[in-house]
Amino acid sequence: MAQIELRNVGLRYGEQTVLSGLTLNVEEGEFLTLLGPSGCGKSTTLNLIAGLLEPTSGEVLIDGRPMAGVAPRDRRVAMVFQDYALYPHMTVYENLSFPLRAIKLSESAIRDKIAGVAQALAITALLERLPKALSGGQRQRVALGRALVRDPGVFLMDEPLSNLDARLRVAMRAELKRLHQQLCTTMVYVTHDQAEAMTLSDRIAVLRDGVLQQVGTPREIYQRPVNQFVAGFIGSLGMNFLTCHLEQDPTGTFLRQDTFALRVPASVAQRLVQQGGDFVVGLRPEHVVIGEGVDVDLRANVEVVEYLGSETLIHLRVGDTVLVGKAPAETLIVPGQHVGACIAHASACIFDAANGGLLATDTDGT
Amino acid sequence: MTITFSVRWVKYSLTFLVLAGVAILMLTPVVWILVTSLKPEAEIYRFPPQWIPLQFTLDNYKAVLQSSMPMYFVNSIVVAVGTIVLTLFIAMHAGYAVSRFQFRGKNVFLFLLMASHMMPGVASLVPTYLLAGKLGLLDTYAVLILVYSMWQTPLVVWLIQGFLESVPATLDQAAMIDGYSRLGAFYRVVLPLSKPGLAASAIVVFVYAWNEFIMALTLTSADNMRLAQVGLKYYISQYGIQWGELAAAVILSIVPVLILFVLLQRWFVYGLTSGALKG
Ligand SMILES: Nc1ncnc2c1ncn2[C@@H]1O[C@H](COP(=O)(O)OP(=O)(O)OP(=O)(O)O)[C@@H](O)[C@H]1O
Ligand SMILES: [Mg+2]
Repeated sequence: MAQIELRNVGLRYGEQTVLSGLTLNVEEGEFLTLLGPSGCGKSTTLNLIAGLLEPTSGEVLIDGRPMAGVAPRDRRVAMVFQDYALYPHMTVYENLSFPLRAIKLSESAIRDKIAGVAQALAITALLERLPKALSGGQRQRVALGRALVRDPGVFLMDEPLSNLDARLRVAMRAELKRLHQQLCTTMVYVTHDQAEAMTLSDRIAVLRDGVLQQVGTPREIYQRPVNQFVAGFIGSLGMNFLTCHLEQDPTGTFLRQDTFALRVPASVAQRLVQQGGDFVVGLRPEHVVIGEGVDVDLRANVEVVEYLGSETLIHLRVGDTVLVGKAPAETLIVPGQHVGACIAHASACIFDAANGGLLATDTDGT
Repeated sequence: MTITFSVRWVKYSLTFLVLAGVAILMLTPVVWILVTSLKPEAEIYRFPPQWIPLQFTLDNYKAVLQSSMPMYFVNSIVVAVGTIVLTLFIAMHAGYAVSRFQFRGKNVFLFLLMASHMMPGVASLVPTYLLAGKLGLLDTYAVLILVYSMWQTPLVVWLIQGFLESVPATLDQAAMIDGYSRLGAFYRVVLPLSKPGLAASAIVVFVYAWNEFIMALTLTSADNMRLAQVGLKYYISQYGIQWGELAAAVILSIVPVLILFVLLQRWFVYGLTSGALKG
C-alpha cells in the first residue's frame, strides 16, 4: 500500500503543454479513477506516477518520498498499459512470470501465483500460447494478469477492461472490486466507462486538457459537478443544459426558457439576482420524468423516442434546445405527441452561463 | 482483360530475364573457379577451355589442406568472429541509445557516423600501422579485431538502429515497471525481438572481415598470424600462378560464409513483434 501525492505537476513536450498545475492526493488503499476525454492527459499522469516520464515542473511523491530520479522498478508500481505491451516472444505463462522472475521468486511460488491469477481472469487455457495467437480481449486479460500477479504498492491501470465484451467487462469489474477490497492496494485507474468509474471508485478525478477540474466521490461528482464540463462528462447520458433568464413575479423567482420554468428558492434567488446575466440549468435525464401526473411542470412536443429495454428515452423540444427525459419502458408515447414532464427540482444544478461554473444546486441553496 | 493479362505477362518475363541475366553474370566466375579447382594442372591450360573437365581430380584440395592454408582459415575465423562480437556489442548499445533517447546533437552524431564511413580505408593505413606498432600490437589478433570493429561499427549502428526502432518503446517501459533496469529491459525484451537485425549485421561484418585484405596484409607479417585472404595471394607469385590450388582455396574460403548464412537463417523471422500491442 502506498500513498501518492502529485504537487503542482506540469508536463510539456516542447511548446505543447500536456499537464499543468496538477495537484492530487491518492490516499493509502484508495481507488481513484481518472476520467476525461481522449487526449486530456490520463495516460500521461499514470506514466508520471510510474516514473516513465519525469515532470517538467512540480513533483511526484510516493509515501512522502520525492520520486525525482527514482527508477520505475524502485517505485513498487504495477501497470496495465493502454496498448497492453505484451512481450511478443514470450508465452502467456512467461509474460505473467516475467515480473516475478525479477524479484527472484521460486519456481513453485511463481506457478502458484500464476495459477491463481489465470483462474480469476479465465485465461488458464491460454497459458502456453504466444500473444499473437490471442484475441484482443484475451490479450487485455493477460496484460491485466501481468499486473495482478505482483504485490505492488500501487496498481496503475489504463483502461484495463476497454476491449472486453459487455458481459465479461461486468464480471471483471466485479473481480477487480473484490480484489481491491481484499488487498486494499492503492489503485489509480483510467476508464471511459461511466459505470466502471461510478461502481469501482472511492473518488473520481476529472481532467480536461491537462487541467484538473474536480476530485470527489462518485456521489459528489454526480450531484455537485463544479462546472458544466464535469456535469456533461459524468453520467452515461450527460446532462441537459437549458439556457434560462431570471424572472421575478409575486409568486417567486423563476429560471425560464420558453415553456420551461424552474422555481428558485429564495436564498439562491438573491444571489442570482445580484449576479445578473443568463444562467444554465442542468438537469439529468432521470430527473425529467415524462408522463401525465398531478404536478406536471412542463409540456412539450416529443421529437425522438429511444427504447432501451429497461426504460425509454424521450427527446422533448423546449424552445431552441432538446431536453432528454425518461419514461417507463412500456410507454406508448410516439414522436409528435404533446406530453407533460415532471421535473425533480431538488436535483437541478444552476451554472453561470458566462464561465460554466456551478452557482448552486437547488436543494441546498449554497 | 486479355490486354492486362498480356501486359502483366510481359512484365513478369522481363523481370525474369533481367534477374536471370544478373544471376548468370554473378555465378559464372564462381562456377568457373569450381570447375578449375577440379582440373589437373595440364587441363587448366588446355585451349579452348573446357566447361566439363575431361578428368576430375581432388589433388588441388589435398594440396591446399596440406599447406598452411587451414591455419590461415582458423586465423580468419578467429578475427571475423571476434570482430562480430565486438562490433555488435558496441553497435547494439549505441543503436539503442539512438533509437530510444532524444539528446542534443543526435542528428549530427548520426551524420558523423555515416561520414566516417565515407573516408577511403586506405587513407588511415599508415597511421594505423604506426599506432599499432607503437602499441606493440602488430601481428596480433587484437589489432585486426580492433581495426575491423572500428571500421564496421558506424555502419552497423545505422543498420541495427532501424531494427531496434521497430520494437515498440512501451515494451521497454513495461519491462522497467516489471522490475528490470533499462539495460535489463534491453537485453530481455528488445534484443530478442531484434534478432533479424543482429543476424543481418553479423553477416555484413563477417563478410567484411573475411574479405578484407589491405589491413590484414599491413598489420601482420608473421606466417602464423596470416589471414586467408592474404594467404590466397601467395598462390600468385613471381614464378607464376598456381591456378588449380588457388581455385581450390577460393572455393574452400566460400564455405564458412555459406555456413554462417545457414546458421543464421532461422533468425530472419518477420513479424516478431506482432501481438505485442492492441489491435
Ligand atoms: N511524445 C509526445 N509528444 C508530444 N505530445 C504528446 C506525446 N505523448 C502524448 N502527447 C500528447 O499529450 C496529450 C495527453 O496524452 P495522453 O496519452 O495522456 O492522453 P489520454 O488522456 O490518455 O487519452 P486517451 O483517452 O486517448 O488514452 C495528448 O494531447 C497527446 O497528443
Ligand atoms: Mg490514454
